[in-house]
Amino acid sequence: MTHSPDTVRRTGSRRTAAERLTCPACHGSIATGASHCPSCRFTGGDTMAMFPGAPPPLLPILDVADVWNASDIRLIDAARTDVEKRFPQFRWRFCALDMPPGVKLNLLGFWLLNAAPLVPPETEQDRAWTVLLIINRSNGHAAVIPGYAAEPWITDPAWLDALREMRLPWRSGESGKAVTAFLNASRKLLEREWKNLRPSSSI
Amino acid sequence: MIARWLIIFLLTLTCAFSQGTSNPAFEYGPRPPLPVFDPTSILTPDEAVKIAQPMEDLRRKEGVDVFTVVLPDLGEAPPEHVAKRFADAWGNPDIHAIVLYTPNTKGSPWIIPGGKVISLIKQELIKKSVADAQRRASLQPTPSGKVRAATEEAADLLRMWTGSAVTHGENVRDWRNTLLTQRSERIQRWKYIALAVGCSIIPLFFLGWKIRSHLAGKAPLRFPQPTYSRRLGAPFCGGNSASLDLETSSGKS
Repeated sequence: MTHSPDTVRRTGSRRTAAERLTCPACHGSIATGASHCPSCRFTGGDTMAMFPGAPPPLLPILDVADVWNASDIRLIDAARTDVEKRFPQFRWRFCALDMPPGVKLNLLGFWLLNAAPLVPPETEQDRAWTVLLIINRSNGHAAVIPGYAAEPWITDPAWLDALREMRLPWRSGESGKAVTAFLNASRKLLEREWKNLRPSSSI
Repeated sequence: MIARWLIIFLLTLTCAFSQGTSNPAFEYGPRPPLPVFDPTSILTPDEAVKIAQPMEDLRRKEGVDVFTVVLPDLGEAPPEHVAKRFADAWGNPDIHAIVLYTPNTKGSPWIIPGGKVISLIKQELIKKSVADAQRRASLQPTPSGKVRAATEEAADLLRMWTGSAVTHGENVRDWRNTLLTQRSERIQRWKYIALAVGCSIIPLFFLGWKIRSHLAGKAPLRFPQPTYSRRLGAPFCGGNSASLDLETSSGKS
């Protein structure tokens, strides 16, 4: 794939926004390429036991909890399309569900992002660039889980800032606007990150 | 015989030549002392003087020459032709008016203006003014009233036209000044327009810059493809995440 040089930038050294790699189960540090968490022995396969059954296809908007009405969905789709036009590598997925107490949302997202089947034309590359926003309507928790290709560019604290933008509309009952607020904040983060990259003539 | 015929021919030729080149005197003689000519006394002497004296005074004071001719009839001759003959003989070549009156004739009295000054006035204006004056004069019930009214109307017209001719130059100057003023105003207006355009260029540049920025903000941006290793045996994501309670203010990553 070739791109015009003015829209593609490369850092001199690899960007390590997600330098601190954490275990989704215990949040302990793990090494790059670790097969399991040294603290809790967690592996990705453990989530298959936690969430038995076949995962649903990871649609752009998966509203199991019926959080968004048609107007909200139009709003979210428009905002998502807008951000994807600006940053075409990134894929955005939004999932709202009702989970019983005790279920860790980040683990559920981790499982969904890894186990959900690829639906053509989605490729593995696309999935690695996917950012999943998952919301548990029951307790009002939200989590962002970025894929491998997406995670170097925005740090976890920065994602947390984007999530904070959701609070006001969410509390006002505007669940659609909450998602668009998250998308707008994410776009700003990506813009800032892209500007911080040093220009490069080669790809 | 031949000599006799030759003498007759020469005499005839001489007579004809002298007839054609001579300037015969006007058949009514020199101009009378008062500007009323009424050979058949259609007006009484008193009426004639009352009409003539003011006109004579006017001629002396202002050079406005109104001459009244009262004839029993004109025969087949047009009034303009008759008036022209009197004007050529007795009228002021600069400006004059002949008031021609024949009793019981439709259109009488006629006012026929002439002279160099009259040629400076628009003919349409003259015709209309004269027609109006004649109509007003003809409304008088008596012959002397008609004649007096016509002479007064003619005098007024001449005075007015004299003023118009005198002020013609002033009018030209006024017109020129008006043009200059209009030109100056036009230049001023263009200056304002140029200033407005100049002032609007700055916001236009700003607007253009904003549009350019806006369009630039829509261009797709791509990050370099990172190299990554799978963690925890997971194919697409390694478990890093940020989570937040949207209902409260607590949050963690």
